[in-house]
Amino acid sequence: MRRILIISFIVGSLMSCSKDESNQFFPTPGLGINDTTWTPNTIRKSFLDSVSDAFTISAITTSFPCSSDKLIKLNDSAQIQFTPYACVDPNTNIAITNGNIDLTVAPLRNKGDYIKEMITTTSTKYLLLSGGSFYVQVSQNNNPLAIAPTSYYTIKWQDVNPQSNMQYFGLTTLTNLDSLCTWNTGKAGTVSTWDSSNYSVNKKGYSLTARVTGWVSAASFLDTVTTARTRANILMSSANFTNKNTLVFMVFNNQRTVVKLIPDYVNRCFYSLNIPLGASVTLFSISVIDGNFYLGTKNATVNSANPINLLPQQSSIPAIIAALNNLN
Amino acid sequence: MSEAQNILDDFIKNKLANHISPVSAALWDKVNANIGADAALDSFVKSTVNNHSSAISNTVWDKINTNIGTDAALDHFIKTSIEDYASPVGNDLGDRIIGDEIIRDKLNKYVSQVPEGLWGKIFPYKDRKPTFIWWLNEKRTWLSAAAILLLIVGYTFFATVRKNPVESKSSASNSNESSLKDNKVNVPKENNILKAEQTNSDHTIQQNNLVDQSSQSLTQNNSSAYSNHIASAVPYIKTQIPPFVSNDERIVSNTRSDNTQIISEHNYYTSSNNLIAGQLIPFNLNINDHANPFPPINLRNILGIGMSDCPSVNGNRRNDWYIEIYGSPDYTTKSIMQNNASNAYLQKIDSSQTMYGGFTAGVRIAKNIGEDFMFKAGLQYSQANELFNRKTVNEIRTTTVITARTIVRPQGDTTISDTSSVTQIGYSIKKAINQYKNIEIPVTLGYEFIKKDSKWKVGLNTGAIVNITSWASGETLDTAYNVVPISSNKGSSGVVYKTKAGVSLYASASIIREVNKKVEVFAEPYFRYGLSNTTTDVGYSQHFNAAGLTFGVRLKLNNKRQHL
Repeated sequence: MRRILIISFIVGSLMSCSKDESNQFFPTPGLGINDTTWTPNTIRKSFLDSVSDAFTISAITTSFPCSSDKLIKLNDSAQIQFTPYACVDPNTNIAITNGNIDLTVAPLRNKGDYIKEMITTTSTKYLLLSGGSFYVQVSQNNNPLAIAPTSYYTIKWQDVNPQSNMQYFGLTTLTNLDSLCTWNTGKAGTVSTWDSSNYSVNKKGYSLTARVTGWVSAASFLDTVTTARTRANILMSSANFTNKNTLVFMVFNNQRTVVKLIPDYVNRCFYSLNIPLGASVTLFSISVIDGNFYLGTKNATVNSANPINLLPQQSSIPAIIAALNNLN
Repeated sequence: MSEAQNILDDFIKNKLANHISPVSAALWDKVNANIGADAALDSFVKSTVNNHSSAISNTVWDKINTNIGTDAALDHFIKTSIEDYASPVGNDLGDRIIGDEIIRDKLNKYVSQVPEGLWGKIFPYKDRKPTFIWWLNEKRTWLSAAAILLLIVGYTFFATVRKNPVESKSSASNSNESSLKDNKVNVPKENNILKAEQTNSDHTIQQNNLVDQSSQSLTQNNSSAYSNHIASAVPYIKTQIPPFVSNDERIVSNTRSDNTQIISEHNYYTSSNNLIAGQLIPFNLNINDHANPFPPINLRNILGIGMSDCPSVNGNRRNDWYIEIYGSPDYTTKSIMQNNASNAYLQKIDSSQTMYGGFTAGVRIAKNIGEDFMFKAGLQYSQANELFNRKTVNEIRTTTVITARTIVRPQGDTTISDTSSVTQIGYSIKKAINQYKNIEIPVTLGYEFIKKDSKWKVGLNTGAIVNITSWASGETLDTAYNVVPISSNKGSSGVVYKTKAGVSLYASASIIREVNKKVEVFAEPYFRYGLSNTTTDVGYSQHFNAAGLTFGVRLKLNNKRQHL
């Protein structure tokens, strides 16, 4: 009797204690959005390609006689001029003496163009102030050509406030895809400024002379001696954005300096060294997750190493391009 | 006379030497209650009754009956010495009559208890078990109907007779007279007291012809005289046994019938006559009370409540009241029928809801009907559980994450806590236990297969469960496949269930084990089928069914068989 009552009580208690409600969530396996892990490895090339393919800059293509030394007007503010028979076959080093030369020039007109081409204004870990960067390519019958050692070309473009300390920098592609590339100075070119104010034409700018094709730039190192600097740390406010799917740039608002931040796997953040204290910057992130683009922008002032949070939102390619075009 | 008296005395002495006849305790209680309060009674008791022994019990006469025909001496004695015997009347009869009147006054409303087993002897079929499945037999059905009709007619008849006793009694007395005509026995002339009493009762006879006729029949009946003779020697025994002479049995029976009617309606006058005839008042009082075929309706006896010592025609009958406390785990099922909802919606409903068992607990009162049938009714709580399981794909869920980070600065490492969020895309499974709760009244009728001297019983039960109130909670889908709550409130935005779930049919088989005389445990597998829709106008109707195994304890409220 007593045993029956006890058993009945236990059964009743167990039934009454049963959980009434649950709502379980199961992330869909294989989805990038559900992958919140950081990778100790470098960023995948496929991801970079997806971004690069989405954002391109407009290049100027034209042709000119190989013997010509006439100025070639790229746009209203830029022109290029080759010396006669300046192009040679890069394999044989024999000068091209017949026919026209196909010319492609891609100027990085604004800071958004740097991001589109995923080019930063840094030389190793040092920041550069860029006066202007161009991609120059010559070819004949789709065969790439080079500039003869004794020849050169000159790009002349306007700039409101050209700096006299600009140097020639050539871009070197890095095998480390996190860094992508770095600008290096060298003797392959020179940079000078020009000012036509004396001729009653209020125009100023830079003149870059180079003996190599590819990415060339007029730039100068930021003051890294007398200016206080810090490490800038950027945290993504959503764990969905990792070094697998996100590129973060720091765009200086008052100068043509664009820094691609380096992923910090240990601290799950993006960072850059040698950021001047008090620098007014715009944080700009592009993420591609499961084919969807996310854009993160934020204006900030770097006063310390304290993290700056950035929360990307799902966006579209045109919207991102528009945002990039506004980064003057 | 003297020699015969000696033989009779010797016989009685031999037969009854060791017999002790008890006096009814209630009788002495009644007498004692008036001792000292009534001078006349005191005097009577002192003079005549004080040493008087009560009537000899039936066992005495059983012994006598046993020897009838087997004891030559007894037979010879009856034939030779009692044939012409006239019952002597004592000289103090007149005084005793006065005393008898006093006793009559004191005891005329007294109800004597009949010894246990008396009716069992009269009705040898006392152990016959009544059955309640007689209607299954067509022949029995008609017989039963006829018996019921006969009872009704008989009751009506006797009720009418009781309202007109004089008229009815007259016809009975006439019958006696006609039967007595053939008897050639002379009235004993020595019975002066009888004559005197007859004379004394003349003024009574003028008021009641029936009494007069009855007295005459007694005086003309030698069989009655013989009985009176026996009664004079052994008072009160005459009408408790059948007369020795078989052809007088009818007469004695008629006399009893007469006395019954007379005493019940004419207490004083009839009693006087019977005293004259053979001092039969005590016996007649007893017989009258129990010979009435239609006693007053006693609800206590019908329900079996309380202890009635009165014997019944059927003897002791089962009269059990039980209280049963029980509980059961239930396996519940649900049937959905389409009204105006779409097939797709019903399919979603069906795929998202699965019955999840339940339980029942309650208490009920059980009362036997007859020996084997059991009527049960009570109050119970039942709950049917349902698992609501809804899978939603491509659901986006954002979770807040707090992360501790160590940031390396030129000044040194700094640990910071960062609050971030994470958004995930996946599928969610929402589970909820829907509960359908009911308070119900179970009413069942069962048949128990009882094997004598066995502690095990098996029963079959069927009946209905009437819902008093019900309420529901949980979640379900609306027609847009959104998860909405279910409730019993009409103002609710979700699916509304009825507050009364109607009626369910119930069937079960029970196995009962006796623990002791008052406690039994039982297990009862059962099935219930819902007849009523539980939902309001939601496009489909829903019925709940259940099967379960009830475990319970049955407590017997009264532990005694009773006369019914």
